[in-house]
Amino acid sequence: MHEYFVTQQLVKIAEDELKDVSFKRVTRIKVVVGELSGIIDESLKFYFDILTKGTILEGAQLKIIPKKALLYCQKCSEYFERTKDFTCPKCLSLGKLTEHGKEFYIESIEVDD
Amino acid sequence: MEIKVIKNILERNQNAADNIRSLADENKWYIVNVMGSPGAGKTSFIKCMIENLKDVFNIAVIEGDVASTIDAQAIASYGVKVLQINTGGACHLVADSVAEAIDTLKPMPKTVIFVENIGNLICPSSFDLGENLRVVVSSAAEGDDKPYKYPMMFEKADVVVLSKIDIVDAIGFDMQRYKKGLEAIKEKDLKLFEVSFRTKEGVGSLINYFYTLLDSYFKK
Repeated sequence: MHEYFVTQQLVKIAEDELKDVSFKRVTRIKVVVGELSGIIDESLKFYFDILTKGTILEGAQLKIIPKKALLYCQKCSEYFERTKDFTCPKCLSLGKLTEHGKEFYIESIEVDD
Repeated sequence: MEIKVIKNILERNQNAADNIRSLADENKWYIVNVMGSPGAGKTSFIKCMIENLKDVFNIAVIEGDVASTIDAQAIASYGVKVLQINTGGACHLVADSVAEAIDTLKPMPKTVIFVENIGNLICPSSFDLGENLRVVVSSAAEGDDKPYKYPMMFEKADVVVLSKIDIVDAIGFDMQRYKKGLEAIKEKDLKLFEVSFRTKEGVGSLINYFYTLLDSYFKK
């Protein structure tokens, strides 16, 4: 449910970025969302449509680029996708969380000139 | 035309949190962000800290709640400064509202400020409140799988208080599985306290830990 708050921030950042740009309309905003970021894609889209009404972003498409969580196995020196209990599928030792999967940022904004 | 941005969406909150941190530094406040599920024992933890530390340290409490003032009233009866923030539905506190609460409370220098966050294991973990310490209160009643299901909450915790350990046997809580989950998540050393606020089991070492921590902070 914190998507409401973060969508407000997202809209604000996009508006700031576009302040000094001349364009006809905003077509797309790409947002990278990691699996562990706690952000629910559907909620983000839901609030995006509501919060952009009447702004320069109205009608723009919100494109979400998902990122998988990767854990790191120190024994195998390899990354692996999250399993049920964080164990490495190869050697069954305990993996560590990494920065992969925590992403949450605006990658780019596309506009029609 | 594509405009590259690469901007952290939580930046504004981060700035507000950094402001709180420098204010806290100036005034020698020690801010503790208390997180956890509804009913895990966050208020019991804060009450326990007040009961045992209020004669030694100044204490103030910021109570985050979706709607009620039940917890704030309970805390006020201890005679410490308390302020309720009702989020009106939002599932977490943000740094801006904590800054406003601190401004209203006007804690004196050298005060421990406990901030009780909204009860859930997802949203509060993403928002820095300018705290010195993050405590997650996690009850045995919720099950031993919580670190696996909500890794971000536990990863960002400095201290985990596993509460309601008096019912561990009755519900078949697997302590080893719980600890293994925490071990996988934590990069730095995790402080885990196993307590029951009802029977007071384990509470002594939790109080000692906070006493030592706060004493050395305020003496610095």
